Amino acid sequence: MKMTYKTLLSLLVAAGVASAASEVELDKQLKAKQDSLESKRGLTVDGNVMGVFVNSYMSSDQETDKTINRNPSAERSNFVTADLGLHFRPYESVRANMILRFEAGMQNYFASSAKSISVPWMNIEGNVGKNFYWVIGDFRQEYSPLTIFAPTGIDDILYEPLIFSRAKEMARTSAMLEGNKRNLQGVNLQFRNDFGGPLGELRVEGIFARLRRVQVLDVTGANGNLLPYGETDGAYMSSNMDKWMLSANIELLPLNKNIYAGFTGMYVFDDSTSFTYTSRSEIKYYTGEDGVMYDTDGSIIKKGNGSMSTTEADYRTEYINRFELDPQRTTIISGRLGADVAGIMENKDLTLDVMAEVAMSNDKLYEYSMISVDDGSGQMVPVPEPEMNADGSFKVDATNSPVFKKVEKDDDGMAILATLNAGYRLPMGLSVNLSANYIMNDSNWYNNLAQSPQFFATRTLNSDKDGATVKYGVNSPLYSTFTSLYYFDPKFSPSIASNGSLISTTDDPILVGQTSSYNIAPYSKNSWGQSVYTRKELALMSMMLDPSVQMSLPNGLATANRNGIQANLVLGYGDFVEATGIFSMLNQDKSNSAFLKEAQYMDFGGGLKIDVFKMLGFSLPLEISGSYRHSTKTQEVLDAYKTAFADKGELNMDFINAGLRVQYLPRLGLNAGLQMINTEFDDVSSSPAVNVSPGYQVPLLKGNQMQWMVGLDYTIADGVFLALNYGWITVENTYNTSAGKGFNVPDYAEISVEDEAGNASFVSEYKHKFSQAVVQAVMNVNF
Amino acid sequence: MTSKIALLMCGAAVFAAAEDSALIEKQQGLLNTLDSIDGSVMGLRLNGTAKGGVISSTESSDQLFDGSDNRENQAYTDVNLKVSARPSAETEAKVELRLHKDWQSAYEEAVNPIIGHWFSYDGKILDKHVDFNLGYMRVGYTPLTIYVPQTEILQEPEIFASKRVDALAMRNLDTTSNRLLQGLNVAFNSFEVGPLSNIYAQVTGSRIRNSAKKYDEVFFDYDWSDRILIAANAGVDLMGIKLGGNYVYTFDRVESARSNTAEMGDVFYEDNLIFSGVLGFDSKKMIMDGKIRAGVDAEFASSKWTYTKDTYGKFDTTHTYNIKGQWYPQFDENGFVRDGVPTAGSAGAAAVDPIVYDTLFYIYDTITVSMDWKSEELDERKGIAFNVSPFVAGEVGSVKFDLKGTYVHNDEKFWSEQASSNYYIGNTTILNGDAIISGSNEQVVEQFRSGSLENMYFSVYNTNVLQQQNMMSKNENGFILAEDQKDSYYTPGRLYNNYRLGHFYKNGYKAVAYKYMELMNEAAFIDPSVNMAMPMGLATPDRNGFAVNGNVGWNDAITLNLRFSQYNQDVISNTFTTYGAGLGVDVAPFLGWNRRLIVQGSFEAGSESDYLKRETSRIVAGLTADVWGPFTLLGGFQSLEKKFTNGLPLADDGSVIVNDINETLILGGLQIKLGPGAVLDLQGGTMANTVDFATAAAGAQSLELNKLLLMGNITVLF
Repeated sequence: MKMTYKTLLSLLVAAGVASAASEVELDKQLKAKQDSLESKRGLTVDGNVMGVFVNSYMSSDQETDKTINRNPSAERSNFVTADLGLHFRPYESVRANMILRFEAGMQNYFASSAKSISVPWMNIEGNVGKNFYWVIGDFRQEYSPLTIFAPTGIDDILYEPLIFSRAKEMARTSAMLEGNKRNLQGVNLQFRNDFGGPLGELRVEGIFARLRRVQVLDVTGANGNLLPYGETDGAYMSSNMDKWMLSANIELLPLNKNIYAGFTGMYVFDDSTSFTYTSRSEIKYYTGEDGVMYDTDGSIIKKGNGSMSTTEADYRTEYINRFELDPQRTTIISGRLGADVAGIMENKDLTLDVMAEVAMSNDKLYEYSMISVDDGSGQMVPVPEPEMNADGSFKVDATNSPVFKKVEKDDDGMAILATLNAGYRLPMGLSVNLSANYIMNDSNWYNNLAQSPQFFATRTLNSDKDGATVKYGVNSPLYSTFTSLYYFDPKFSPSIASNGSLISTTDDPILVGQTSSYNIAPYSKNSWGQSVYTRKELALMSMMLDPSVQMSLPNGLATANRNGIQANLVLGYGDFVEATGIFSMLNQDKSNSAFLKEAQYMDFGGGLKIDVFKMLGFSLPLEISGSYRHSTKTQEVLDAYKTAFADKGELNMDFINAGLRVQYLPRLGLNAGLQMINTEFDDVSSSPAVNVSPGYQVPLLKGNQMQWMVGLDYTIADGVFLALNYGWITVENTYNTSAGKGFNVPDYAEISVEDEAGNASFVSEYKHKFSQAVVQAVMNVNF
Repeated sequence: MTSKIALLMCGAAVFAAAEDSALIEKQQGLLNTLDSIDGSVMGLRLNGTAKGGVISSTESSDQLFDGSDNRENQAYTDVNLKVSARPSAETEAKVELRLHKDWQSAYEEAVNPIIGHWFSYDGKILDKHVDFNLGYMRVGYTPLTIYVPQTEILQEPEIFASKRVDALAMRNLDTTSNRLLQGLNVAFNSFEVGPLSNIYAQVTGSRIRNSAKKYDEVFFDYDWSDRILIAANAGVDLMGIKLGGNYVYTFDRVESARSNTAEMGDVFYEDNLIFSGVLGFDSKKMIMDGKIRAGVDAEFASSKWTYTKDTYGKFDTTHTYNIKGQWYPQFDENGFVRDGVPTAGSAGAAAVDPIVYDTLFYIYDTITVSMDWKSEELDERKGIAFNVSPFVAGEVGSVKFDLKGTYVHNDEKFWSEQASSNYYIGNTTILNGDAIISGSNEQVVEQFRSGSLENMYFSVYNTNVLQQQNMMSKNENGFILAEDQKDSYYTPGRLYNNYRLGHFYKNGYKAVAYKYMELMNEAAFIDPSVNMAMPMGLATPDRNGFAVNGNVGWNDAITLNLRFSQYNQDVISNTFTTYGAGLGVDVAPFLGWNRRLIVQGSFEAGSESDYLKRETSRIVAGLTADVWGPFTLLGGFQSLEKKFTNGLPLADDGSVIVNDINETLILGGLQIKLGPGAVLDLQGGTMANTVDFATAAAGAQSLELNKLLLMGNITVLF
């Protein structure tokens, strides 16, 4: 058969010179056809189908007046997601991969978009010879914790019960996350050659990726903004410029790969030539049928009595994102040296390896030059210096505002990470392992490809009930660490906010029901994501951390402004008992507060896991686990403010985990988990004036969170299971309400009291307790 | 060496040369054979093309806002997934899906849809006597009926040709003269029957436009009414003689407009009917055992075009006649009103006057004015078109040649819609669409910011969040984005979508067949750099004249192309003259290399004697060199000038006049074959576009836009 094609094709050698495009096309098609027929074709199909049914019912004893917040308190997230992976191999050395994601929601209001097909993953990869590999499109990469790395952004949850950790993994998988690899889109080239023996292996790698593209996004959208309608630095993730990344990585592993030497150079930059403007409809006001005046973003401006007016708005040229005008130019270099001492000694019972990494960053920051002018009273005050055109006129930007003189400044940072792993397997099945990290990252250290966390505390279950405060995440009154860590909905359809009428034949409810926190349209509700954030976004995120899980290293081992050590010791016996002790002590290098000195973080705890059945020699597991962890953040007040505040601020947190996993039939098992988090703040650590955070207005004194969940597991095959769970989350927050209410206190909170004389005042402490009952059914099929 | 070249040059004078179309036929035949071998595999098959890469275009110009360069980067992964199901050896269902991702990770692309852009069910049934296509299809009849006039660039280098093909493919188009349609097509071929070598008949039905169903929707093909095409042809082949007839009728379906657009008032319909007859002769194997073929093709067509206004208004008056009674008093013989018996009033009131009444009946007329549709034929054009093309082609020794003359006589009022629109329309902004050009005249920028070469060779396909800038609207003027353009207050509400993505094109090619009025409104702006004399192909109305095309080739190593045409446009006594010549040489065989080293070039020019007195010229040069192993060097140069001696007025008041446009495109690149069906292209180049114009206010000016292009991509066929 093959011969036939060849003979046929030989009749048409390089048809060549002719001009007609059709001929060129035909010639190409012919060659392609020949190639495709001759090549080893292959198609592999794999994937995963996941059906999730989560009903969450929220209630609070403090919500006595149900007319204040009319938003639904029940949430039904019911969806089916199927990932279909198609892997084409038209020829041995080339592959094309794609994952098609089919999504169907049950009971979704926006039916058409709930049943969608999308492409979360697409790439072409191949190899040239045995040593050279290339990929274009989506890929994941991890070099080292200070170069390219995706930290989870949360502290270790010691012996996290399986019933919860599995839920977390599902949320992460939905966001296409895998370990600490960073998801990138671009070109990745890898060369590897194993010389063998003392020369070892050489790896040379290079990446060219686009991190952001110029794209107009709506500032009120639920996705694509860290703080919808936040009007502050870092709030919006839309980009005026294309952001690119170039990296080169060389690693040598001599001595049978027991010694490691690595060097990485990276350049992250915004292509300022690609700076683009957009046109937007001017904000115009209109008056709704209910006589309330709305902004075009749907927020209420003022109550009025006007009738419906259809004000039209003009388009005008604007910045896509007016908070990210300066281009990023960051250079990062890192050198690494490590050795597997145990490997060199060829001792199989010993673990002893060391690794040291030193990284330096140089970022260009921009400041505006100032000139001093007389303010009229003889006082010289600084004002930004405007830029002039050649003709002496003032330079203006697209919005006709003056352009000010920018001064570029170098911001040099350094980070050091040293890691030691030491362990020994003793006879009798005993083992001991110590891991320790020494971290010395200065406050200027900046590498957004290593610092961007996968986790950003987001409101998930019962987010409808929050209404417009949902965007404040950790500061939203109904926030709990558990819902944020463990629950997600890839296509959540929010209910129309209660200020909108629900049924209408016009678009009014869509328009009027908008909040400034999200749009009334399906969105992906998930704390887990794969974004590479900008400096301003990381700064904003650092203000919105959940102290329960993001205390000391919210940006992983590359977190800037940290000095100290981190260690854990694991003791094991057989494969059924394991005990872990953890300790860390980290200090800030430089204070990030105008009122406080450098913060000190301390962390200690321990945990134990026993497989009782295994200990008794049964083949099925009965695993009991538990852990306790205590974390503190202490920050002394600057001497100048000690008269106004206490001497120091302290935040204490206790995290308890307890888990049970028992499989009593080959396929049927029982899972249970309990988690408790108690957080306590003092006057300083709870003060909104000192701890500035969007939405944080009322001091939170104490937070007690607890969740338990029990469920049945039915495992049909590896990767095919059905889980039926029931759980309960309770949160009790105590606020200092002496100054009144705020965004982080529920709108239905009743804090006013009257004394006998009829004088109104606020209660000094307000306790808000709410609970969420969760019914969960999960079906997962990997194929 | 010298002697070899000398030999080559002297040889060139006597060669006859490769005949493009014969080669294409051969290739097509081979491709069909391979397709049928490949296609005989039954069941479900998945294949397609995967592509990933970057196109970066940096625009520089003094006229850019704030003087700084503007760069637009497209960085993407794109898969065109072809799914075909073959339930039997005879029929096949095809679906093509486009998966596209622009590189970035700023936010979760929760709704990045997959677009299905080809759906068809095709087959060869009844012992291959009947071919049918359902859904998407490409159908061509004859140059005066259903046809796509082609863009011919003599000796177009491969680096350009492949870009043009890619841009067309993004719109589901190709370089054949078959028109992209959606509907049903059935063709019958008897093959040998008695003395006849074939009896054929074909029927085609297609909806070519669709009336919009919703306002403010993303709706790509819309019109005020549904537009339908019905067509048929039939004929016989006998000993190389072909005789046939064609019928094409394209019309607006009135009901579809009336049911949708009652509020609008006037709707205009265009109906177009064509009958044509074809007569041809092909000597086939008669002369020198088929080494030389000669013959003639002729077509005669008659067309009718009507333009109708449909108005919704107060046209219908209904008279309603009723009988009505009237009471009047009875009079007695004395003329007094006859009194009846008085009845007592209530307490305190006067007695009721008991007049006796009589009844009179009469008929009265009520007029009801009701709203209704009324059609009025505004214009009718009837015309004939005729062309005859004698040809001779052959292969003598290593020399191939073909020569074709064409005589055309088309009435001013001839109009054949489905044969008149080239896929190349141009006048679209492709690259650097977001650059703000502020230092020039707005109308000039709007019309000419992307030149002909950019439109012809570049296209952009990306996914973008649906928002104000890119939502298409059924708004009357089609676009909603201009400064001071008013917008409904509902619009922002519709755009609150949490970033739903849509697929967008920036592409100079269109599948749409323009209606007469549409094309006439834009006639002045049809890109004169392509087919200035015959912009609508052989169906161009109001043309009398002839064309001669000749190609000579030697051993597939040298090709020479010659073109000449002269056409008159009688209505305005305008004469078009075009000429062109091209030469391509594959140097490798002369050097004894078994690979390609092609150097090629051409020059074409066209002018008109009246109207705008346009003069166009195009210079093309190219290089294709297989340098070593999998490496191929590609190069291309193209420069064109469009001169409007009488000036092209952009504004009705003549305040903006374009005089001259010069464009240059230089591209070079390296192509590396990574494996069979996998190619890495690295290309760079520059593109310059200069428009000389004059405004009443500021006199002579020029718009100068330069682009630096960098491209790198990998294409894999699977």
